[in-house]
Amino acid sequence: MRRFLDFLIAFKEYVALTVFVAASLTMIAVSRTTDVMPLRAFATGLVGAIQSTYAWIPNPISLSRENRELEAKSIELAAEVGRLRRAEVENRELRRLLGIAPRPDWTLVTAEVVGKTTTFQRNMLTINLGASDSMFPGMAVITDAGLVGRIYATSEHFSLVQMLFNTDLRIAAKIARTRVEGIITWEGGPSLMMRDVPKALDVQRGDLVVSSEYSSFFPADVAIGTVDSIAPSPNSLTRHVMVRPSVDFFRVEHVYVIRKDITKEREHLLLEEKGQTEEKAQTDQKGARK
Amino acid sequence: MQYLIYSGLGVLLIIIQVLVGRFLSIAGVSPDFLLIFLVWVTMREGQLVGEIGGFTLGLVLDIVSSSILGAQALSKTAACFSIGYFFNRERVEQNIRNWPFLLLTLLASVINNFLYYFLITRGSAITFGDFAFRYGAVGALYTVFIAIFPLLYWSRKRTY
Repeated sequence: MRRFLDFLIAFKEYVALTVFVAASLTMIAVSRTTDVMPLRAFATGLVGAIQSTYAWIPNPISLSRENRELEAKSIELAAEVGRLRRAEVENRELRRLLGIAPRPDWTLVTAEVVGKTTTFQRNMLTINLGASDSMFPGMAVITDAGLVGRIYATSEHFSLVQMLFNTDLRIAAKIARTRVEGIITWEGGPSLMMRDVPKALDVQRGDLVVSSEYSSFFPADVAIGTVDSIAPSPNSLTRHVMVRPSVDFFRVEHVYVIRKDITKEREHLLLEEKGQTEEKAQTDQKGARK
Repeated sequence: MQYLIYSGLGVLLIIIQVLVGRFLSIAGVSPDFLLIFLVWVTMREGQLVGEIGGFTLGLVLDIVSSSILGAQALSKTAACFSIGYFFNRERVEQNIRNWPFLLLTLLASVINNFLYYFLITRGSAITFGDFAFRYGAVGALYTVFIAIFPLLYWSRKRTY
């Protein structure tokens, strides 16, 4: 025992390294499980509380620029509202004639951005709504310009939002003009990337990219960005489409959370379907026994 | 008592890193204040203290920055362990106040960034090479640039 202790003391740096590496690797392995959610919620609340104490400090330069942009935007939006009202009436009428069910409405909840964490390429926003305001992980967050991200963790009064500029986020998306589907990821830099789009499919610079119906978290047809460039992959039948996001993530101050919990609704549907399948299997078994 | 001061300083730097780091970010790359501090601690106190500091403060940074739990802890432990080999009890002050401090900060940043980006890009479609070069190498240089300021401060302290 004495010799073992002497050995540990003699090689204490290596022993400590082994222990710390083993502990870190274990934590990395459990990092994405729900076991660490209480810890995440605590950290979100703590960082949110600190950030909200200085979030009120105005930035005069950005305020004046924002005012000019808002004035221009309000004129543009007023014209668009008129066009959209006419289109909605037409759309409702056409859906009724074709027998298509109306699209579900979203409930938007306004939230204020109290902090931004842009540490080490896992960019996050902290908003001033939390579990006590019925916010849940997975809810989509948007602005008038388009998709911002999704809620990642909540504390009682704050939520952490994973921005599109986050290496962990993958979004089912499509080109609005041609309905070409793909997965949007971020690999650093100012653009998002739609990987491995077949060369034969029609994608052009300037095309609008929107969220797809296949997304589990985001409602369909929310603007993500526009095609900035198309990078050919040599010796391959595919290419990478670079997408410039519609939202300026580093200047966003107010966002809307879509309260409709798409994931839960889909889970419910899947469970229902599973229940029906099990019920059918039981009936079949009984029939076979008879 | 000394270790308590180190812990307090470390936590303060983590708060600064998370809250203020984005204002200093250039094209998405931010300097790593905590790593500069850990290099300083390792050069003063040796490999073991550096490892303990790297692990505990890295873990706190993981929690506060919503990073993958354990990624910063592992990369900072490895960085401090590596530069701990250059600890020289006889030349602590000379090393901290001269170019070895910058050189070791560069070495620690490269080890820290490459290991961290390897861990966070693991299992994803992201190409580690591109990401590590763009953020790892450039981030390491930015951290070294920021480390010049405390070095200048300590050098002036020696003169007067």
